[in-house]
Amino acid sequence: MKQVSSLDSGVRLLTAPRMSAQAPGKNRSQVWMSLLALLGIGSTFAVFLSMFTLQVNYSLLIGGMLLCWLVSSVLCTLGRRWVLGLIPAVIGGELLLVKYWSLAVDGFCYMFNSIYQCVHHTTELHYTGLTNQNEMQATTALLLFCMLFLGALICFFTISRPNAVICFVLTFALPEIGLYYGVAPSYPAFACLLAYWVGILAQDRAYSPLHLQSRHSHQYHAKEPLRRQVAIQTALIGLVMVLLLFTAVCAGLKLSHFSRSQQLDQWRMQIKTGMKNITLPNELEFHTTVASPFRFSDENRTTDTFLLGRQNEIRFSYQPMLQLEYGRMPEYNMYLKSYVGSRYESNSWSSLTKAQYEILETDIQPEDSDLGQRLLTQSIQYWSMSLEENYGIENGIYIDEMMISQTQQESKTAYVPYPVFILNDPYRLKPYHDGTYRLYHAGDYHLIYLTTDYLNPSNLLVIARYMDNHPEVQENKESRYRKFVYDSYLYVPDTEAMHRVQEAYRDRLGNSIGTSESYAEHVDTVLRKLNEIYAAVTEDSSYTLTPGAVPENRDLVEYFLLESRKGYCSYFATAGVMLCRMAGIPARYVEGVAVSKEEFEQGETVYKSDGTARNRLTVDDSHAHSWAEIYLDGIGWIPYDFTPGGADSNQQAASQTTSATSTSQTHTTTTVTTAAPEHTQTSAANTQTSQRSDAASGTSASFRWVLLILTILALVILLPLGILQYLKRRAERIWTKRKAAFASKDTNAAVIVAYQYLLLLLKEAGITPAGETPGEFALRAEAECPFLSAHTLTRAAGIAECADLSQHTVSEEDRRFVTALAMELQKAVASDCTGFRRFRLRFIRCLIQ
Amino acid sequence: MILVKLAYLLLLAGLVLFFMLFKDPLSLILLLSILLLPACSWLWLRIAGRRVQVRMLCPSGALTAGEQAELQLSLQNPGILPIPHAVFRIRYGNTLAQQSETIVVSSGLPSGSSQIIGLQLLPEYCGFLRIEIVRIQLYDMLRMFRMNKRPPQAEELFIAPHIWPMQAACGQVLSRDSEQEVFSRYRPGDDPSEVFALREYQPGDRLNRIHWKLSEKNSGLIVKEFSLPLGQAAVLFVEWKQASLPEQHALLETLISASTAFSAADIPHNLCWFDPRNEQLTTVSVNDDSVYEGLRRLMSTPVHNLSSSLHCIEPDRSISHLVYLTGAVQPEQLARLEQLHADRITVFSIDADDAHTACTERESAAFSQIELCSVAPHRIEAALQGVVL
Repeated sequence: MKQVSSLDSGVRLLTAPRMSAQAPGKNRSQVWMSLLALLGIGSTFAVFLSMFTLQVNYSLLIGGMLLCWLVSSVLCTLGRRWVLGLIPAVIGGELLLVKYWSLAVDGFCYMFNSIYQCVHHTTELHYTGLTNQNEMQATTALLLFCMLFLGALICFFTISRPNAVICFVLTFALPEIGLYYGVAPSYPAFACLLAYWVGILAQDRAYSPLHLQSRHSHQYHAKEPLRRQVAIQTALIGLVMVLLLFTAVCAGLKLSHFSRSQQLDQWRMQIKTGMKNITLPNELEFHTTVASPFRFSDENRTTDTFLLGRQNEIRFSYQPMLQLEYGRMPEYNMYLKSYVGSRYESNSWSSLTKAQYEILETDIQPEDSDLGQRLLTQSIQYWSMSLEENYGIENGIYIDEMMISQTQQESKTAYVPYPVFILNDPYRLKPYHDGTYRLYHAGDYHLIYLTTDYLNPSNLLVIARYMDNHPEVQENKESRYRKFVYDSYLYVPDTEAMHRVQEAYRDRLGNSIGTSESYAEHVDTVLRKLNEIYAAVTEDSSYTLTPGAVPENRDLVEYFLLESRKGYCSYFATAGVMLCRMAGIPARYVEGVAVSKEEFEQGETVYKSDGTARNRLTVDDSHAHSWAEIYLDGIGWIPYDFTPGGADSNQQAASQTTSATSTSQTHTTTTVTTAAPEHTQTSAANTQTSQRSDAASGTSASFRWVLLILTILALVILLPLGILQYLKRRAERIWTKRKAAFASKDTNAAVIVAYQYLLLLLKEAGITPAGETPGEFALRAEAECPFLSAHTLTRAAGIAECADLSQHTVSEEDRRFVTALAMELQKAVASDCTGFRRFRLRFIRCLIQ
Repeated sequence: MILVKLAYLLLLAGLVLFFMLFKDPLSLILLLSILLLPACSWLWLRIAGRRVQVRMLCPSGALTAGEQAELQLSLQNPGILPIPHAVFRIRYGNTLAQQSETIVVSSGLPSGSSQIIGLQLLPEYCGFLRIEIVRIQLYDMLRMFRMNKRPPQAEELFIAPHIWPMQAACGQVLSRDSEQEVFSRYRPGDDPSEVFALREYQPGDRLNRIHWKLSEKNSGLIVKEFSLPLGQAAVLFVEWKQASLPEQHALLETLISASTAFSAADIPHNLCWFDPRNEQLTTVSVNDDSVYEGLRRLMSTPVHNLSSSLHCIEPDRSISHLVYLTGAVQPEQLARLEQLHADRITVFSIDADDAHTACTERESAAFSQIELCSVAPHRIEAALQGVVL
């Protein structure tokens, strides 16, 4: 009979407590576990598939899942040896599917495209060149590949080695793809997944024995069948409980008509900004000042840092940039500009020279500040106001107020729409070069914007004709500004590359337009020419975020127009601007954000304190865009988008133009881009590195600090706790093994282990053998160690020697003596040490209990 | 539990963040579900925990030291909700020992189950085996909450000492069936009905003690000594003081062996010890089975911290046979015993130290009337073998 404990209490516990209960058979319990695993696999894929619109053969997928689950479950249920069969089963399964490997690779592309489109709300494809003929098979093949791995692992960690953490990681990976991008899954599927998580957690918690903090107590745990029975019951009830809870909460929210508060959304934006700012890549970019075509500011700009075509690709960070709060929905796609490039040199846009701006300011502004202001800001308020009065635009012109909040509040660059009307915030906003505005004081700023689409070609022609008929409204100052424009914004670098481009497009560009006496004729000619240039730029060109870097010593315009024919909006805008200039049309390069009217309609309605309803829209960096500004004589700068994504909207606008021209008896086929192209959502904003770091908002920065502090705190608290817990478990394991070795049936082995343990303890006490026989060492140790009585270690050494070297089997009494001596010495050493030494001996060396 | 709660708080913090970042109501549903989950778990624990019944089943009757005791804990969970974890802290030990041991048994309680936790205990020494469930703790599914349940009452099992064979010499003490008066063979007394001895006159002898007839025949005066009537039965006097458990065990085994020997020889005897609670001697007259009752009373008596309690015996109390059971006997105790009016004195010295025993035996040679028997705790049988009371 195994004696478990022999203590000073005078009572000996002979055997470990026996627990008898009616537990289900192992197989029966594992059937439940298998069903739980099936729930895990099924809900994981159900959640994933519910998030995205994927072309999948569901019958095949479900069949594959069931097969995978069945094989894995059977192998896991059969026993430990059979579990190893999972490895060949998975490998075999993958080998069977290996002939579909290329299909699975295509499946990845299809799936990636679907996810890309879904999370970025775009029709743009990330992987192009795929024929959609085999999409279903390819996606199904990929999912089957994934399912084989995931299913086997989920089954293993649910049935054989229940582990809640690993199961959570395995089943969370797929849904996390959608959750990260804010895609909501199907609620029932997610409820099942949540139920599985809670079920496996409950099962894991109930199955694993409870280790209690009691130094002197002996702990005994129930046998595995009983633990398993409780675990299964707990898991099932936990699972049902979560499902009920989830349903109840859903119903409660439905009945209460829950809607998120605006404050929450503001926090959300701030948190997102803060979180994205602290990502490692951003931090690295901040320090390396990677070039970006999108600068939005000419602050701290050098030629080197903003070279176009320097990068292979650009990516979105989907970081909120602006929050627009507006009243009426704009009927047009709004462009909000922030940066203007006037001079193109060596693949980089920059402002005009300081001397040029001085000419502008001295020649125009001082004499008539109002007109000067308008010209500087390219405001055509005057004409717009005249339109309704004099021409009776059919739908009228309506204005409303817009409040713009920049998440990067430290930025000095403001975003202003076309045209800038009355500025309600002159204190904050002041005009800067080339029609841009600077933000002199951080904070939200207010603008007046047109809700009516008036910057269309027909209206422009109406204005031009009005000006032709009413020469008195012509401003002398405008002609002087026009001269400045023609002097400054027709500059084309005198390089061979530009000559080659000019030569290549000579036929399409025709003769230089120059000025004209009739405004209407001029506008008509310019719009026609723009149409031609748009076609020249976009024909046979493809839009991509990954155009590849422009080779060194090559000009971007030349490389793009004559060779690569692929790029993103900056490429098209730059090329368009340069071709315009070659054609004699003053043009300049603009960066900012473009928001479609559909997006304006999707804005959330918020209610102000005075009860008025406003709309709010958050604009992230995927709205960043580049376009061109064209100067029309007598009218001013108008936006024009050369990016091919705007082709559809151009068509739409063209039809509007046709109808407009039929009434005005002026024919034009071109359009001014008042309709934002679709691609503006996808035309990329690369991580705006230096600017981002400059313009990190105060809230984001504080949140960043909070996150940093929380992370440090979590590390400081959790890491030591985790390490301590690990050390404790390790020490427990070692002690369990040691005690088992002491109680081994092989008394010789037990004695040797106990004696070695004695030596370790003596070593800790500073007594180590020094080339002496065990007997001599024992005598010396007895003399030196205060915890050892006479003849104890000597006897133990003799017994150990006998056990180690002779064929003789050590008696049970001798084994008890040596082990008891070891335990006594352990207690003595334990009572003798304190502080870190005790910690070291207990948790690191695992020598004391 | 702290770690679990900390992990839960971290999870909640994460879910709050998720709620703020994820615009779909799913984030709120998830947050609320996880928020309410511990509450449900707690409710589950309270409902299920209330119905759990814990009982302790002990074997009836007495056990002997060295005899295995099978104790059972009956756990019943008649409800439909299982208890994921239950922890029972069970303490057991000999009441004579100053220490007790605690074991922790953890087990889940399946729904509608009835399970038994069996404990096989081996009481090595006599005394009272006390077993109690110190604490019953029930844990919830997430191990975040704990419910303490009132444990059942402690149980005590009487562990009787082993009886070793001894012989009692009849005739020295009053037989149980005898109606005659018994007089001491060793000490003179004042009972004129029986003459103890005749001797020559010594100055100071009382005149009526002179045996005139013999004095007439003899040349000198002969005085007759009257006998000492033995009105007291044999007394087993136990020095019940602080000692190690093996020594106490040896003491009790010697005591019961002596008592049994007396009983076997039909010699009436009393158990006697000093009770520090009332500072008096407690005497139990031993009949057939009352020795165990006496032992129970003795073991229930707290030990005293005096060096000896012999002073409690009245000096003029005449005892036919005084059996004195003590720990390592001291010469002072022997001297005190010599002064008592006991017809015969036997001392059992329970001494684990052989050297001390040898020394005591040498010193006891000076006390001719005292029979000293040294008993080593682990060699009781050998020590008692051949002892004649």
